[in-house]
Amino acid sequence: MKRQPLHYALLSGVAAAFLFPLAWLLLTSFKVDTEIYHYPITILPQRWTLVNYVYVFTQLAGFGRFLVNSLAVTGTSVVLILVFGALGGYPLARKEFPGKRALLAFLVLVIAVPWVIYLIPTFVMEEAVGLRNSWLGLILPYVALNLPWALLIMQSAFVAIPQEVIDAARVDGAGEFQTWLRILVPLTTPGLATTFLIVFVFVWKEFLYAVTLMTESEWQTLPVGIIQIKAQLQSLAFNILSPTIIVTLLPILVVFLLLRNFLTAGVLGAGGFGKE
Amino acid sequence: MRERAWSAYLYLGPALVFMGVFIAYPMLRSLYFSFTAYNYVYDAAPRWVGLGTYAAVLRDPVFQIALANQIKFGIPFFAIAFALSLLVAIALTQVIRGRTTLQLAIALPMIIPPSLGAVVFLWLLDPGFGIVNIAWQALVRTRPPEWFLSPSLALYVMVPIFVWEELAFPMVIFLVGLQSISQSLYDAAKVDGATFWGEVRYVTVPALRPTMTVVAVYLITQSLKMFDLPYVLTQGGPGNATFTLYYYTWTRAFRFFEMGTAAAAAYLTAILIVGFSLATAGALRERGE
Repeated sequence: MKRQPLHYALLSGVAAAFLFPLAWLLLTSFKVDTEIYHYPITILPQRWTLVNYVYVFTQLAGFGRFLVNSLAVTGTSVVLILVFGALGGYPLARKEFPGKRALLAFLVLVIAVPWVIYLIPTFVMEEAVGLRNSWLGLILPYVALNLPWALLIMQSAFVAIPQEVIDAARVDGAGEFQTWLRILVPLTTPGLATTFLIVFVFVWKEFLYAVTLMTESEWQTLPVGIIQIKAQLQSLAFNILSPTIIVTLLPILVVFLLLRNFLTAGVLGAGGFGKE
Repeated sequence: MRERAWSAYLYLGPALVFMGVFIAYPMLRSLYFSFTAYNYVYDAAPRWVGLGTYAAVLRDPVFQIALANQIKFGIPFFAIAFALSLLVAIALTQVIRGRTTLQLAIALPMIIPPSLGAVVFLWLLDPGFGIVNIAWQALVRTRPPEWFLSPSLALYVMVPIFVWEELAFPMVIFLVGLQSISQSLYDAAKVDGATFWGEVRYVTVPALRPTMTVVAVYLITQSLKMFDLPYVLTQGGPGNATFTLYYYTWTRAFRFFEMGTAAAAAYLTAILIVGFSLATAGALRERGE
């Protein structure tokens, strides 16, 4: 117990250092530009203002479009990943079939291999069929790339269901698909929540595929589009950039707060499979 | 159940189609590219040159710089991230009040897309109005370094930024590992009169070896895949000072459209990732026996 102060000092120090960049970003977003670029600098805004937020939503060309792109691509990808993950996790957990071991080995391999290996032929393929610079051009690879996580997490979720539950449903005369849909899927809610958390964060943050495949600003998502805005601004106009970044963080924060009970499982699952 | 084995493929069907088209097929096609000379803009089709592509990549001075940069970047990144996440996790298990808040605060940077995290640091280190430079002038009273414009410094400035972006996962992994160590081991150590650091040395570290392997593999993999920071902060510069393997691969493919070269570099990176992971796992396991 007598070591408590030392532990608190270490943790508070690290926490303060880690929070500082985001706190400074938030404070900057509430300052007018003349205050941001003025000596001596101020810590707290002298006059709290939403003028930067109003500007990026009403004046800043492209930002609204990036937000819509991010929402559409992430929303569609996550829904498809959850559905296909819940479908595929079931036989991985409860059935024996030829090729099962090979498939599980493949899932782990996919996770270990750097994504740029898939990206090079994907670029060639999407260019050939005209999928580049479209929502679908990102959604399709995102679904594929995130399915290994989804399948492995959903596999363990279906493994956890006792066999008696399934047997009871079958005795009642329910077909296999009906049993899966009405009995089993609702029992995997924690697995679905964990999958949702991981996949949402990864798709929302993804940069490598988005910057490569979405070269027209009309189709770019926030992590790429904001870099584009930064490149177009003459100098680093942080009165404009700071609110765009804060807005990008909000959906992840909301998801984290809603699903905070699954956070540890989510972080474990996410990192364990190496993100890009 | 056996007679319904085929239905497994029905449930797995959509996943298999997606992963087949966007993972398995590209994986093989990349492997093929890596044995060819193939400029996507100029060449109608890939031309088979065998291992020549790999030889050319290994001889490329920029690739060699990227490889050296990975070592120069990877060692301090690994040391700091590993030690800091372990220390923070140990400290978190020792405190009660405010624990969740402290943990969330330290994990919070994981919400930011790495490309935008880089922009935040451009602002903090802005030559004119960046808070770090202004604080530097007030405290050290010399001109602050030129951070990303300095060839000798730029790569190392990315180390703390990457630690900031990546610490959440190792911290949580260590926490879970620490919490799974049986209290009876600590009680036994206490009976033997162990100090706090004695407990760390003789109980915590040995019991934590599998967890350390996971963290080590993760950190090595992440540093070998670093792309967003050099892309946003320096475009690989100044000169080639911040080229990473991933950034090298990406520029070969999508700036110069040398798909064969890029695919070979990508496979070399994959070999390094798998090799380092296996070596790390092996090293930590051996010492555990």
